[in-house]
Amino acid sequence: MESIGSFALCAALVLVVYAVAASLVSARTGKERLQYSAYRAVAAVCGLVTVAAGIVLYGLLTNDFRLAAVAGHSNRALPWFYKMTALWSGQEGSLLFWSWILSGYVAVAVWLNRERHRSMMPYVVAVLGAIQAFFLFMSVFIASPFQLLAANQGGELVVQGPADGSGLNPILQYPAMAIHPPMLYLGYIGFAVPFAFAVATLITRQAGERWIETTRRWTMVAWLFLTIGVLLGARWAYAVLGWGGYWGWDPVENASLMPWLAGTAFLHSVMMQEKRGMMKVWNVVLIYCTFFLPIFGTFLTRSGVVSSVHAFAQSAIGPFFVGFLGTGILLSGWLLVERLDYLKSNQQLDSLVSRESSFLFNNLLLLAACFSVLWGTLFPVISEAAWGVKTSVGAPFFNKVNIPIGLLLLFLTGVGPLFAWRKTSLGSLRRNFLTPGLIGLAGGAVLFVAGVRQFYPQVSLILAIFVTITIVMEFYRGARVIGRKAGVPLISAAVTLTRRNTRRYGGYIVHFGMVLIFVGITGAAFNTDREQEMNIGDQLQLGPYQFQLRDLQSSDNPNFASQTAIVELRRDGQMLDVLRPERRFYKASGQPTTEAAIRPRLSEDLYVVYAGMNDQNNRAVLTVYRKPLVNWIWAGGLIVIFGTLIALVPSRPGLTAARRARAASVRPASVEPEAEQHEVPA
Amino acid sequence: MRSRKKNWQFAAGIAIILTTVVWLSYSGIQESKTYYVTISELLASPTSQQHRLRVAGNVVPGSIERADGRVRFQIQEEAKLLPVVYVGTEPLPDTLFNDGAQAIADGRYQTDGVFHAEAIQAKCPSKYESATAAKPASAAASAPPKSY
Repeated sequence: MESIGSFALCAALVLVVYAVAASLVSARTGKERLQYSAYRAVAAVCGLVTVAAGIVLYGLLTNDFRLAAVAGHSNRALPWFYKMTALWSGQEGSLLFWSWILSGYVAVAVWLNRERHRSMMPYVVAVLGAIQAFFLFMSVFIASPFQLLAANQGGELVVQGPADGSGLNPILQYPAMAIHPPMLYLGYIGFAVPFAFAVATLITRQAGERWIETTRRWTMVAWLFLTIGVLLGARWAYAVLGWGGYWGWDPVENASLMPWLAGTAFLHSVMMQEKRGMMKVWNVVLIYCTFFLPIFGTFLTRSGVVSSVHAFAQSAIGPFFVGFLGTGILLSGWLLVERLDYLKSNQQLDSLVSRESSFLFNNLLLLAACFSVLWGTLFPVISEAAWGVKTSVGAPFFNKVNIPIGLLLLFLTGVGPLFAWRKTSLGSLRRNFLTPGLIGLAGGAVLFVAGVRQFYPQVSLILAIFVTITIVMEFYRGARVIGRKAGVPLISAAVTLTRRNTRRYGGYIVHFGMVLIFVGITGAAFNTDREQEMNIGDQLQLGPYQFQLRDLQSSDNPNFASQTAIVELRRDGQMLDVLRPERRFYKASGQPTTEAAIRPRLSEDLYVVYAGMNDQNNRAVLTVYRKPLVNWIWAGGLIVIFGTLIALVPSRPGLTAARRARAASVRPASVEPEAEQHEVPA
Repeated sequence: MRSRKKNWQFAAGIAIILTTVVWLSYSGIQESKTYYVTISELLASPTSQQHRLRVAGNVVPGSIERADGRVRFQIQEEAKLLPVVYVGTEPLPDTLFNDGAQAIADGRYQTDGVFHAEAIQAKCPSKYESATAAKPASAAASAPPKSY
């Protein structure tokens, strides 16, 4: 089986090189048949990589421990679901997985665009094929997923695997973690398609906006996956790592955040190019960044250049990644400089208070955040090179820089979409912002009285109220017009409104989700915690809550042994819940883990960790945390996903007000008063 | 003329934001800059109490103890020992308690001769090597994979 897999990968590599060559030749000579053969080669690559990945999966499911990739990341007692996820747990598997996703993307991109963009497609295929060739090269020559294990038997090496594998790292055995890497990869790699179109546009000097229109949905889909991936990673850290946080500014986390920031900037600034023909160079630079940053991040965390808490497989892939990155950046950078004249902006900025200006500052802030994260992550390398001493910066640095940037972005989220293009009049400013501003300040006053007096949390919550009200008002205004015309209730008018311009109103929903995420992050300012050594029957007090240790129980299964603390939770003496924080010892990997008990509520999470036994006095050590509002992050995340999905649905401008009105006129009259009722608050 | 004035406004806005970000970065770096030192450098240097430090060493087997709600242990690099007390609030990493664990402590070296660690990371270098008896068949085997 493994030789079939190896062969499939070799054949895929040969075919993808052929596809690149054939595309370039056909672009020069205009031979269409050659181009079609390149398309077929790309489809075949997708099939071959799928076969290779299928064989690794088969090996994982059938416990074929002769394969190093199986023996290193799986074991017999592992549930089958996690056996499959072991595919992307190791270096070799994750490179193959990367190739697999890319080959799928390429096949779909070619299939969708083969007729539409004939002049551009050869270059698109060439660029994507070159990227694919790099990853296949890594899988074939450097980190083969089909490497066999051998044992020394009487001086002779014989292919033989261990009786059992060393198991999947137990902290990865968690549902969110199982799909976190695929989501991130789908996001990272998805940006390769807009990147390829951008390069092809530059090469062929296409009319400037076409690549952006063509790849608009690709970009949104990639961004959606990346967002889900980042959120799942945070969720996993919170639920599994047992340190009570969701973000630690670790290099690996930063590596996923940087492309997200660049991608978010890109999603916004493309609108400048579509609507006003501005920021053309900037958009090319942004898609370059968004594409290269994940590869850079992969290199950073796996080559051992910066050390990370996450125990990533470190290996010799570093130099190859540097070579790939260097070549890619040089070539695409040269192309950009070469074509600068053609990327001239059609327009100028008119006013500081305009939509253009808000996009400009949005981009500036997102990029500043991205750069500060990069700087902080690379700080050990920079300081060693510049001053000869190895130093690092931690969370205080990242927070100090990024909290103000985040708040400014939140502010722009509120004002930007309501600024007019070119120039905003004073009247429209008053109309749009007076009410939200006043409500926000009133909310701030209430919070101040309630005891929220720290500067940043206060500002953050005021802005959250302000932005929410602006979004609600936008929906309300639009829906009221439709509702009046068509005589339908406000809610269904809001749905009609959204369907007419999914991108705009889906965008508002995404913004609202981000507001909730900001609120959730702000909650961290009010975290409290307490640690105590406890005998059975002892009680720990935190705020209004009493935690009483009732019992310690042990259990055992083939995968792990565990000890569970049974903790009764009371509030002011009233019994609320029984919490079961746990410590596990995974047998295959010999690794202990902490399973925190979490009592999630919208207002606050109670997070209980059984930290272990004090050997001297045989008392259990419990740490309990109150984490206000943390669930708003996950709720906000779901709304962001929902909003992005809405924005992906094509708008239906055909569904005009006139048609709705006609449809409504045949309805029974009884719906009319309802519509009236909804308008009363105005 | 008009457009030049507008450009000037934008330049000023951008400059204000960038200056603020640079200033915040600079002060953030000054606040949280942590020097990497070895135990012997730390013990030898007279200025080691002035900076935040990161020091790594093997946890001395059996030295971990809990007292007064704090975890104390010793780390070792060759013959040099350094007592560490953990003063942070996050639960300690599970792998710290494994035999032969390596600890990386971030914090300050105080005048009492104890390293007050605000954050501790643990690495267990031989996690998989001992579990896998067989060796890679190919000579070009990469380093033993640790995890995802």
